[in-house]
Amino acid sequence: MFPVMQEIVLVLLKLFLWVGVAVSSLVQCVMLSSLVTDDFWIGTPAIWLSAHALLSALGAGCAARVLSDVAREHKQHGRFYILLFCLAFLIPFAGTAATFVSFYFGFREALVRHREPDYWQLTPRAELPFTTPKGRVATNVDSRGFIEHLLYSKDNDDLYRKILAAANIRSALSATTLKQAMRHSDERIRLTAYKTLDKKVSDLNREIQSLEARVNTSDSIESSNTWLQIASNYWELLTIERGEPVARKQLLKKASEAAIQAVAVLPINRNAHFILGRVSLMQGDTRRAKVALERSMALGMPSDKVLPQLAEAAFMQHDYPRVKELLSRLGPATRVYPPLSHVAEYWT
Amino acid sequence: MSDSETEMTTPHANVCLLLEGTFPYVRGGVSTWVKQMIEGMPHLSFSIIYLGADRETQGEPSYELPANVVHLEAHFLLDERIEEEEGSNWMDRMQSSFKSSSNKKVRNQQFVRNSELHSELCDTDKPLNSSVTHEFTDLMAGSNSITEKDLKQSRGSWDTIREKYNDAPEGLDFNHFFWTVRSMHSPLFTLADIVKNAPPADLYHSVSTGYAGYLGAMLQGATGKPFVISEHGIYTKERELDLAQVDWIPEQLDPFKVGLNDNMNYLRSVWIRFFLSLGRMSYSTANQVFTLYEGNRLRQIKDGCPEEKLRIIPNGVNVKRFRPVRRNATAAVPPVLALIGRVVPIKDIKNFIRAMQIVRTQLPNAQGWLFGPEDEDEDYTRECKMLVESLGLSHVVKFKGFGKPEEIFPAVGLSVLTSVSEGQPLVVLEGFAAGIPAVTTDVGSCRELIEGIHIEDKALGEAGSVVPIADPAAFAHAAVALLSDRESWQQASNSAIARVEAYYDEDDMIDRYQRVYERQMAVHSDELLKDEAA
Repeated sequence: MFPVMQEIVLVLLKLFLWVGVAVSSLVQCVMLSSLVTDDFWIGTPAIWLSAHALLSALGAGCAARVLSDVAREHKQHGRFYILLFCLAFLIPFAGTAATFVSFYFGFREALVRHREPDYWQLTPRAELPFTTPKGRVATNVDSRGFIEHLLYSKDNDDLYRKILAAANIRSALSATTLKQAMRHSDERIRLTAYKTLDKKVSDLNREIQSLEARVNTSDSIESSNTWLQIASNYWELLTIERGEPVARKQLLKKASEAAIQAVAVLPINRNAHFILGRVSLMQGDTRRAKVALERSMALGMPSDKVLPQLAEAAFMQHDYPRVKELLSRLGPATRVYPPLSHVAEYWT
Repeated sequence: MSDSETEMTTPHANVCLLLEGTFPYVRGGVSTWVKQMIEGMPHLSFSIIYLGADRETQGEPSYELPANVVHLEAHFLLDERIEEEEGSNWMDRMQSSFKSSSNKKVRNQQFVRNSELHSELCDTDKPLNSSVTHEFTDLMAGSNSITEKDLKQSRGSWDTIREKYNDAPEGLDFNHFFWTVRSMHSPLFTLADIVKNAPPADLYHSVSTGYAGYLGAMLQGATGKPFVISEHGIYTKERELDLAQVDWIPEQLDPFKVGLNDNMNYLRSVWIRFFLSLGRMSYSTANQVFTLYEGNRLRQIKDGCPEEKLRIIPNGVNVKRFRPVRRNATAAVPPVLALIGRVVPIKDIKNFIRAMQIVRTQLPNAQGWLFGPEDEDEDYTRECKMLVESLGLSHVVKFKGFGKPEEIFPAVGLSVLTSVSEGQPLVVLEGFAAGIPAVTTDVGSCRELIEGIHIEDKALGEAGSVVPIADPAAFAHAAVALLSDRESWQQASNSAIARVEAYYDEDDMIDRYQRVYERQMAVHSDELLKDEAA
């Protein structure tokens, strides 16, 4: 009778210990949930920490007792208890640290993931531009015909909606129409056009500043492409400030400096040579344009993208036989694009 | 929610001004006007309810309060509101839960009525009846009003939002729609709280529509006191322009659908409709609406203001203050163009800088001075300074910060404005009072100020030139024409002085408003007497 009773007491004691472990775990879970919800019902952080320490001690004590077979000796039992206590106590902190670490590395990974080495993407449109920087929305509609709308349409609501939509079209295509709209008699159209254009300038300037802040990375491909993006943004600003000769000169100079940096950091970056060639062409430096464009083609830039630029450089140098020769090398698909087709037809 | 510095007792005032983003915290033309009004009627006491965006970004007051302001309270519409504490013990919670379940039916009926009222509000073809606004006030600030908690948690609110979502175009993210509705309506509960503890006054006067205007409409409904509106800029138009540019409204761009024929983003149009509705409710309940000039009057009628309520009262300046600084007929005119205004995009400072480059080619000694705060849009200020540098105009265009008008005008030859939007700019009138002609862009009432409105006014002559916006060459040409011909300048100066003395004197403006206050209060007293007699 007596041993049976003893057995029952032992079982009850073990059950009690398991209940202790369970209670400790459950209450800790509820306490943890209070940390991540708006309602920190537990009071102050000090109360939370004290309760957490007590519950960890309870859980560790009960678990150490339940698993007493693992550590039979008294000394071992004490160490086992300390180990369990440390584990229970540190789990939330380890979890927090791990979360921070994963966020930090995830953020870094996400940043790197978006900086792809190939900088340009081909746009699906038939009209210029054929390329656009990666990551920028390549819209498939341009603003041709809108100036006629502004001049002759009487439907101001429709024009207003068009102005709003022009905000989503890159500056190179919408700047002229927005400038025209700024002279419209309807104040709503005029102001929306003005604000849209102003926002485009501010966004580009802000982007340039942010790119300049992170241009000096250790990775030469990234650094070169960042310089390229800076050059491209200056170029886009140029399309907005087209009517201002002084501003134009300044912006071209800055675009050129950024493109030279891109080439200096990574001399095999064909896109950098290409954009340097185009900027040089706009600056009237045909010799540098020719060198840069030829280098870009030698590094693998598709010839159909480079040849029209090279032909323009040859034209500016009055080397007309070369213009003819370069345009005759254009592929048939490129030759049928409307803006280029009649030029190619004339010269070849 | 009110400012911690708010006085504990709210003394009675003759006029309670409802101000959104202006006096006494933000500098600008409207704030100057408010100050003029308060100081111009020292025998009346004023209280002020100021509505700001959020407490954190709100700086210190920019103006000292005149002695006849007896009460000021500041409320911040974007701050999180403090919810009423439910009982901390389980008995209280049980009681509150039992109470809320018994109220559920009433609450659902309120949301159904709210939905019906919204439909009436959105019908812009019909003039809005003031009873709609009063019913809204009752729903928001009445004895058994809908609370913010109801908006966030009740079944009725959820059903209403779902019902409204059915009107949205196919494919709109419900999540975006849901949060738009919530954040849009949240500030209205702050207004309802203000109404529940409104400072007592004989008359409520709002200086815009929008939240301040709607607060006035609610106060009129709750207290029965007269309510008037004075609009300087058109609030609805300004919000519409802002909303077209803001980035916080989620935009779902489909690269294959973007084009010039695209309709406006639905959520933007919902926001615009919201502000338009606030404007319509303000207009429908206001006893009178005042505006600055004919252009604004037409726009207000278009936005739903009943024509019979509208009156034009133009701005006025203290002409006496500027008489001593007028230049005599033989004195030389300095080739200095002064632009007095905030350095913000809407003032198109870049246009002024570009125009200065052209002016310099014809008048090598010309200078361009900019007076006004530079901290409102720091990015824009930086861009302007970069433009000055890149155009090589650092020694020509100078950013001079604040300056007193009576100290600025003796040193300048022209007062200029290159804004793309204006109401009735006080700085032009102040320049006129000092005998300084103006070159402005063709915005707001600038043409009326420079060329005159009616035959008698036009006979006074042109007080400067009006040029198209964003046209630096035309602007420079007009400025050079005035500065290089002393006779033309003198003629424009004489016209400016004659016009401001005849039509834009501060005393006249204050006198007219004083009569408005007296009449409205008298009408209200008569109505009360009649009610009592009945």
